[in-house]
Amino acid sequence: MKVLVVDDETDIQTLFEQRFRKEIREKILEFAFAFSGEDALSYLNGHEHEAVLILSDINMPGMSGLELLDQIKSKYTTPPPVVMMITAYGDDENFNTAKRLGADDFLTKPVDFALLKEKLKMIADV
Amino acid sequence: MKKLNLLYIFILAFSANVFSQHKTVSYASKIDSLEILLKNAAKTDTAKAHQLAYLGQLYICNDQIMKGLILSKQAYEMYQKLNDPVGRGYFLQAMALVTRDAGTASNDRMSLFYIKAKWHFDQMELSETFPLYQQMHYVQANILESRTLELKKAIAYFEKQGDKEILAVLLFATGYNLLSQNQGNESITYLDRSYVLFKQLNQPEAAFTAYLTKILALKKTSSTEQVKQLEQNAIKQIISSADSREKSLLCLSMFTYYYQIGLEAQALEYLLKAITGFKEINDKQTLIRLYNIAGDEIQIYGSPRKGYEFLQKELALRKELNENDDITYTYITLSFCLIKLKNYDEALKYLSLAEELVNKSDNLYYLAKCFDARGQVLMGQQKFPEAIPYFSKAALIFKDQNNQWSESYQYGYIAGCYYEMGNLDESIRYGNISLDIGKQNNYIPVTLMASKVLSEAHARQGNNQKSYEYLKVYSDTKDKLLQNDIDNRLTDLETQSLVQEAQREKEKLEAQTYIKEKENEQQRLWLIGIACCLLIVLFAAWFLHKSNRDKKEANKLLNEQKTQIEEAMIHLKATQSQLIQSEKMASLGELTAGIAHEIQNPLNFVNNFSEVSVELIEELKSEKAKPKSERDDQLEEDLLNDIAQNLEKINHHGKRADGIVKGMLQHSRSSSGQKELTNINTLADEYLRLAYHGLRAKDKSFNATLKTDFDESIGSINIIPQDMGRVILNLITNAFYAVGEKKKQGTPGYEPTVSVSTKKVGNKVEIVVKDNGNGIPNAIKEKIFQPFFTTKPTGQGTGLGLSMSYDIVTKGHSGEIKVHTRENEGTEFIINIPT
Repeated sequence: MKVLVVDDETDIQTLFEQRFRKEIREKILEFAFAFSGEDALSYLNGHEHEAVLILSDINMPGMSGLELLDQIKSKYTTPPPVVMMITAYGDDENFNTAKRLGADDFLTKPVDFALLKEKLKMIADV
Repeated sequence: MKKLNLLYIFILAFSANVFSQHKTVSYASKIDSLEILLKNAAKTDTAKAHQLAYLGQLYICNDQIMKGLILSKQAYEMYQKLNDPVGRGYFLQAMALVTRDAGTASNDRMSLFYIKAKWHFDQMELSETFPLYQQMHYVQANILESRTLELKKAIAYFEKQGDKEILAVLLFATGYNLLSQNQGNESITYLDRSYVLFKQLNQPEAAFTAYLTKILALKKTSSTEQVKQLEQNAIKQIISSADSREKSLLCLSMFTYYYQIGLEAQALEYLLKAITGFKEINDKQTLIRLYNIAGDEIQIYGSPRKGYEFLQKELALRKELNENDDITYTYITLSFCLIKLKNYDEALKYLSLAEELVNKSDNLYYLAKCFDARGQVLMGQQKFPEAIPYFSKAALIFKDQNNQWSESYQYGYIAGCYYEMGNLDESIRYGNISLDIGKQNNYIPVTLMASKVLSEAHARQGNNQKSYEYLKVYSDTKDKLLQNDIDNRLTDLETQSLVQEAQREKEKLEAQTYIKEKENEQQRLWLIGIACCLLIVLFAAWFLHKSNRDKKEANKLLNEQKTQIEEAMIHLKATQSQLIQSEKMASLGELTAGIAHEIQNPLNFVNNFSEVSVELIEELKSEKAKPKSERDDQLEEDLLNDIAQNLEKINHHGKRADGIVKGMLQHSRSSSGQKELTNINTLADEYLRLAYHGLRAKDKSFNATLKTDFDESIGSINIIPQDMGRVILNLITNAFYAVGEKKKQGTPGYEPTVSVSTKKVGNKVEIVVKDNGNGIPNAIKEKIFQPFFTTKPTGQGTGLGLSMSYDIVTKGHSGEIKVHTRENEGTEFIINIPT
């Protein structure tokens, strides 16, 4: 299963690669990284049916995670990718907006990687 | 001449029925009956004296002057024996009758003695007088010569008698008579003698009148220089006259004099002075006459409006005294005033009143005047054919009375009427008659009127040559009028300077007189003076005391106010520093969320990388625990590399968090005021991120594109980092606010963009903060750097951000801060700091 991680922090790539090293080695999960909403969209354009799951930060300069979510959910409908939103501000407003725009899940920073792993495995197994 | 006109007025003022009486009353028959009465009835001495006095006056009226005077004197002597003051009154009346004069003379002499007699009666509270004063008339020109002879006879008689009073009057009357007959030189000798005699008799008014008459005579014979000198003497006498009665009479004489020489302005001046004088002595009877003359004169030569006012005053006085003698003339004059004012309805009212009275009497002069007035009313109403018969009738009567002045006027009016009717031949005919009389007698108004009509009539007939001739006459006469006017003014000026001079002399004299008195009073004055000084000193002391007290109070008040102001100042300063602090805290508040976010991220990395490192070490351990053949050396190598990398990451993100916390502390700390070498790019980037996240923390939906363009060649520059950071933060926060506001307007396709750039320009560093918001309206562009100016809603901005930034850049760093803005396009703040 291919996961696209969107975050303006470039170190997130190293972190994910190490956190999911076993899954990557076992080819259960495959990761792609984008460092802004715009990057994420251009990646999706090139790899339309590859990414099954998108993991995006909300607070980013330029296009925010919520805008990205909106665009993904309206553009890529067949099949719609699973989008999980991550934010440092675990407030209701962001949560509700994300839900309204069609986010499949909502995570708050700091990310609980054990929980995330469970969720990803669940989706991968299905 | 106009003198004639005046004479009519004056004489008529005293006699209601002049002309009728002249024709009907036979003095001779009255004399006869009285003579018989005197012989037959031997009554009381009083009755006899009364009859004698009356008889004397009758003789004088009958031009038997010598006889009349002898009788008058007898009566006077009888009364004196009886100790009856009425005798003096009758005697003065007789003098008045002697001095009545012929056509060319004013009869102020008559009025002089008449008034004196009247005052005498008033003084004695006697009212008895003979009816002669209502019957007096002027002496016909044709009897002037015989009258002079009669006067001379009387002079011879009374010279022998040595009666100075009668002689003085006779000499004066003779002088005047001779003057009327143009025998100036002879006249002067008589007038001189009368002048001396009047002076001896202590009758200054009479002397003055004689003196003025002498000047009149001199005018006809002598140089103007001499005349001027004499005139000035006369004026001086008036000025120096202290007695108000005497002064009133002198003014009246002066009026007549000026009138006779044709200086109307001066004449009127003295008439008005006389009026003031008579008002003062409360002689209302005379005032009635004077108002009458003034009204008439002013309506002819000055303003009909003013004339009307004087006549109304006369009417008021008449009403008060119930005096209706000769009111006819007043009504007529009033109607003339109103004709001139073109108020014909009102004019007709007075004219009707006059006509009613005229019809009851048989005064032809008034009748003629009424015709004249009615003609003028009709003329004014454009009823020219109806007007002519009235003028003709008036002219006939005036001619009969040898009143050429009024007669010539009628012909002028008739000429005017015919001109209006288009009957030019008749117009010219009457115009010529009028002009002839006018020129002959030097009647300026008549000449003007007639020459004008003639010029116009000839012009209409196409006879331009003739028209021009008459026009020339008209303009020459006008010039003469002008010359008169100039003379008037010159005389006026001379009089004024004379008056001033006399006033000075008078003052000088008075001063000398009072010096002695003053010397006597000196001591008393000294005492009063000392007392006054004492009072002043006391007052001054009190005043000083009071002002000192006031001053103290004022000082106290001032001190109180000073304290209040100082307190307010201290309070203000405290408030100011509070405000600055609150501005710092406000920006810190904006930062807090951003800071939290910024710290959260590195901390997450630190945690995650350390956690994952633990995992990696565990994996490495389990790998090492495997038998040697199963161990993957490459994996072990990879794990070790990852752990090392992670430790680096942990260190990096730890330092990142440390930097943020330091920056936050720096910001909240009061400025050290110390310049430090600082990387301006790092500073700008840091604050940009802080501001962005700060805003995002407050407004989740907010988003903007951040652009940075940092010139890496700048390196570190010497600035106060906290202060400059504050400036950058402030500008960026404002930029975000601006784009946020524009975003809210929902402009389609709008992308909020904020950019921060640095650039080295020569020896300066330029920092630009740019947004694509709505821009700053021109109206407030000038105000943005002012303290407390803010466009944010109340409570959201302190209004100190830009003002503080301005101070930091310009004062703290000797730099400059500029703003470029375009409405709807965006704003650019440019900071220049010397390196």
